[in-house]
Amino acid sequence: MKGSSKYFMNKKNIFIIDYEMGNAQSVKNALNKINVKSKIISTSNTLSNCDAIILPGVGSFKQAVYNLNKKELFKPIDDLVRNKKTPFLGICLGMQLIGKDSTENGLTKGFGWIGGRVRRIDLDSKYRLPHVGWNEINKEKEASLLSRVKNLSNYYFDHTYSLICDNTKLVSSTVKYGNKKIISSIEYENIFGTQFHPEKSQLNGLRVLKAFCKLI
Amino acid sequence: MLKKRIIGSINLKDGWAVQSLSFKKFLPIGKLKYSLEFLDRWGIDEILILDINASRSKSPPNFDLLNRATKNINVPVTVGGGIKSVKDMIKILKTGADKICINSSVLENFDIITKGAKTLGRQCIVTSIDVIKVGKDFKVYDHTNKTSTSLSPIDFSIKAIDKGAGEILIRSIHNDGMKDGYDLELISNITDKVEAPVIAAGGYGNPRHILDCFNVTDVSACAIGNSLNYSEQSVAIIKSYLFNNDCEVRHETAFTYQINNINNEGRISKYDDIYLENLIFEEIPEEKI
Repeated sequence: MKGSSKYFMNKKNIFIIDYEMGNAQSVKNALNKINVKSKIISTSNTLSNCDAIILPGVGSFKQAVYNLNKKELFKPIDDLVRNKKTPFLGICLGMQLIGKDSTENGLTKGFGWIGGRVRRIDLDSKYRLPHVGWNEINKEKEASLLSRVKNLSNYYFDHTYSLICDNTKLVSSTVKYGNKKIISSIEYENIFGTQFHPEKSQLNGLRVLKAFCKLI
Repeated sequence: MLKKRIIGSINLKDGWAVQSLSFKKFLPIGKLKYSLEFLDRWGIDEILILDINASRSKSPPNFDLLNRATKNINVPVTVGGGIKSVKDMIKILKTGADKICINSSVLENFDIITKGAKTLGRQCIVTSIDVIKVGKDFKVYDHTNKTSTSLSPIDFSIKAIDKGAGEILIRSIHNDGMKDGYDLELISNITDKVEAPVIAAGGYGNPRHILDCFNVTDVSACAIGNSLNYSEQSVAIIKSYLFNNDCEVRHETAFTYQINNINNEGRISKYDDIYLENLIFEEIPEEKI
């Protein structure tokens, strides 16, 4: 579909960050499906004229921070989101990176935009890790990202670590797994995050992505 | 509550989706792209693409094909076959896939799992273990050399998880293509000992088999191969059957078959007469010319 005549609704620059470990292409494919134009970037050169950032993620926290630093993306993204209030959507690991630090493969510092830490999900032994599969989310508050989504919709999760947030007001939805309530999405000013994979959750996921694009 | 998953498994041979008859004969199904799109539309939870001759012919995975085929797919895709290094894994993820499947046959050492898990996270690595029944014992089967080894699948699974695997896919070779149901004894042996999610594969014949597998064992998912290609809406019908039998599956497609009675073979019965009668609200007599 390269260079196809597909009509794109938006004129804004939505940048998907490719840092050698995210599934950037799946996110772009999903956005294409809802007629939203996006661009995958892996350097900080063009980052300054972006209107929104999507940080996908499949991988380990430590490696992610290492790759972002190596590609000199960490500081520019931090600056854009923190100071210029650029809308930011973190998916899975991308959401975890918002937190202060993670203990995955050794303590590593994240962006620290919100007061949260990333820890291994502490579960009853009869429940299996990683938390993988489709699970239903419970809406915790009215959130713009979930405005088009019904309560108890199913989303695809795949993670071993999860964000633990000090400020429960930021939590827009949670998911129940075993004896634990895990944060599945957060919203704070211009910062959005989903622990589930909207790009891989069929229609429900596309609804979330569309809601994010409408916000820009 | 975490839903039980139905995984559609597609075999790939020389760039074509094929149906394998005991891995000896192959029937073509068609282009990978369309197989994927059908499964996606019918409400599958996850898709597993296995390149069945990549390892044997020592060729790399077909990145280009994957890139084109996964363009419109909005469910998680796991790719296996021919993966030799972490570089291959990253390249596969870049095509639009989400997880990597490493087969037991290529596991001379577990290094590749450990390295993969370190860069991509353990949730990204699925280890598939082929198992064959030798007498009363279960043994790991070596696909490349077509022999059974002396390894126990339980020890192998535990070791694989220890080295970094996030999920274990157990394929019983002796049941594969037999349509007699999953090997429940083998699966429960594994799920009892292993902490990671386990996927059962090999032996699917009808929806009843999945129900049994979910009820008897603690598997997280059941994989289905060829059977999904036999009929239209196969996934939706299987899920409706499971749903009607109080099984926790995701059932969110636009169409469902819940009012229908679906028998154990997965065949839909005729709608109830009363239901059909209610559909008729006006009689239109045939026009006589």
